[in-house]
Amino acid sequence: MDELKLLNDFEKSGFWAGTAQHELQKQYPNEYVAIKDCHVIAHDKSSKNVIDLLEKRSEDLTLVLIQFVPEKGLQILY
Amino acid sequence: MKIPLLLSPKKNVLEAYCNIRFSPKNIPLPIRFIVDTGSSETFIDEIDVMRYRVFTKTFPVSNSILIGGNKISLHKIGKTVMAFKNDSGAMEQIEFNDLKIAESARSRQGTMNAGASILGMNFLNESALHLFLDPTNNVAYFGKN
Repeated sequence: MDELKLLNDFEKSGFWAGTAQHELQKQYPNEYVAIKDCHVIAHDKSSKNVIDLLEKRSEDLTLVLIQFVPEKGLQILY
Repeated sequence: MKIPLLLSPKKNVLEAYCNIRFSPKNIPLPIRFIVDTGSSETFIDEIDVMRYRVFTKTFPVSNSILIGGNKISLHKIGKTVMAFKNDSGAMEQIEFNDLKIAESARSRQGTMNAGASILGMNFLNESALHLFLDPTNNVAYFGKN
């Protein structure tokens, strides 16, 4: 895949995750979500389980954004 | 040269997206970094490394850091090529020699790991980039004179 397209698609998913934060918190509190093409394609309480699930489906992991969704009221400080 | 950065919708997190390449794979892996000028270190989280199908423990431990009271081991990757999108829409490659992997706390029962990859001050220093940030007008970028 073209490197610029790869980065653009990944960035779009990241921005989408930011705009959809409230909805993600409602559906997947304290879970890891895998996002591809601005859709949640897998989720679990364990990041390892998410990756295992994606590998079973033969997903290209380089295209997938995986992030933790804190429950409402829980803020992540970096 | 400018490398646009992304302010989160609430304007409380500054993000930099880039493709990284490092041995042994050397294929592009897109990463979302949190830009953190309070961090002296630049590292990718183990979750991101798992997406690359390489094992953290194949890289030597460099040092440890404390994050939120948790001691985290950093493994040194070494030389990395980081490709950002510049303000012309073209890829801008930057070599960085101090990228590390943060060993995740995911294996500890009952812990939660935000899984963030951090772009810290050592990246800005080594690459001689400056950071412009104007949240009011939603403008943020890395620049080079």
